[in-house]
Amino acid sequence: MEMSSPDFWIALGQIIMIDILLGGDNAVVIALASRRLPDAQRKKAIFWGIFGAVALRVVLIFFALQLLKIPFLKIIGGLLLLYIGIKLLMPQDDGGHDIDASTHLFGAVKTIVIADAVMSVDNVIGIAGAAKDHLGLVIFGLLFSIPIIIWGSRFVLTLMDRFPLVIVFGAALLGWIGGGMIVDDVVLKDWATPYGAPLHYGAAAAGALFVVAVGKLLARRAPVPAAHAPLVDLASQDIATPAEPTPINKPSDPS
Amino acid sequence: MLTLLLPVDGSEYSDRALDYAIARAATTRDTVHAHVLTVQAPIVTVNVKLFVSQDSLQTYYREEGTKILEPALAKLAAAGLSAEPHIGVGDAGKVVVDYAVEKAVDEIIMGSHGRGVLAGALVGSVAQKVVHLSPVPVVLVK
Repeated sequence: MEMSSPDFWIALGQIIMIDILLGGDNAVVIALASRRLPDAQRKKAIFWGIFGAVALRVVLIFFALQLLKIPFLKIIGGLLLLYIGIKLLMPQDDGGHDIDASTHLFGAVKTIVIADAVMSVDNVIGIAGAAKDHLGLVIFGLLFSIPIIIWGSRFVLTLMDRFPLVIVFGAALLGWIGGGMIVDDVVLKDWATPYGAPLHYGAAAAGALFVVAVGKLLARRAPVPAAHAPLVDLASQDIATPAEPTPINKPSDPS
Repeated sequence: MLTLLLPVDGSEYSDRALDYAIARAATTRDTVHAHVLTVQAPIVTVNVKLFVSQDSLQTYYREEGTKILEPALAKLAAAGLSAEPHIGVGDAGKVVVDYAVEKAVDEIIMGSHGRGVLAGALVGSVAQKVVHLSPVPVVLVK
């Protein structure tokens, strides 16, 4: 890929999108995990958590390009991206893998380390998949993810909240990269080579369609989570209400 | 009785809107009842979905919302106004209007700008949306 080719710029755009999708909320996850720590420790936990998220990406990216040459790893990586894409479209889980907002430093550190590892792996695989072995793009993707992790969360959350289409596009993009990555695996090389680019793009398109279709289907089946249902009032007794709030007894016909 | 909806976000604009509401309440002979509402943006990103349960997210929204509501409630209480706290999650403009309808308020009083200059410039203002969608009069305080 040359800088003059449109492929280069498409890959660049994809990498930026992936960094936003998969890096933008890392700081939020870390903050949620350290929420219950005393103030001084919380600041430390957040700092080291974000430091870890950045450092892990640097380490992983050096291995990623080598690792992806190992048989089956692109298939696994591609499947992981498909899973992440579907997950992006699904509503919030009720149970399962809950990060615990531990009151002990050790507990918080443990959850942050695990979250950091998973968040970095999917980000790095996404970058590597979009960059298609172009080292310059990989390094760009890595560097670009750093400011997004550190400063981007507010922007990313607002963006995704106000423009829900970003989520659908993001999921389709993850499916596109994942699908293309699977047929690029070394194991499939002999089989895939004669079909060339059409196979790659066909698989990419199939991946995108698969993620959006499955994600939408599962999202429709899942019960609407409370937070997104209209008018769930989270204010509770723990907020000091002034004594005896006057009940509303407004006539139903305001005229 | 005059029922007011006071959406707050902890910004100086929403502070001034509260001041205005208190002054406004003082000029009427009606009993004034206030609904104080803060709206949290839902967090819908993928890693949060992977690692954080709905439960802890709810707790998080509640804690963040409470931080914003408490000073507002204290201010209204000091002025002798009865107020009910509400925390909503979702698109701020839409949630405000939904509450206005649900609680059958007579008027919405809010700040003209929210927090964050960049966010405002980028996504357009919540106030604009409320004015556009609201079935009841909206007072925007600058």
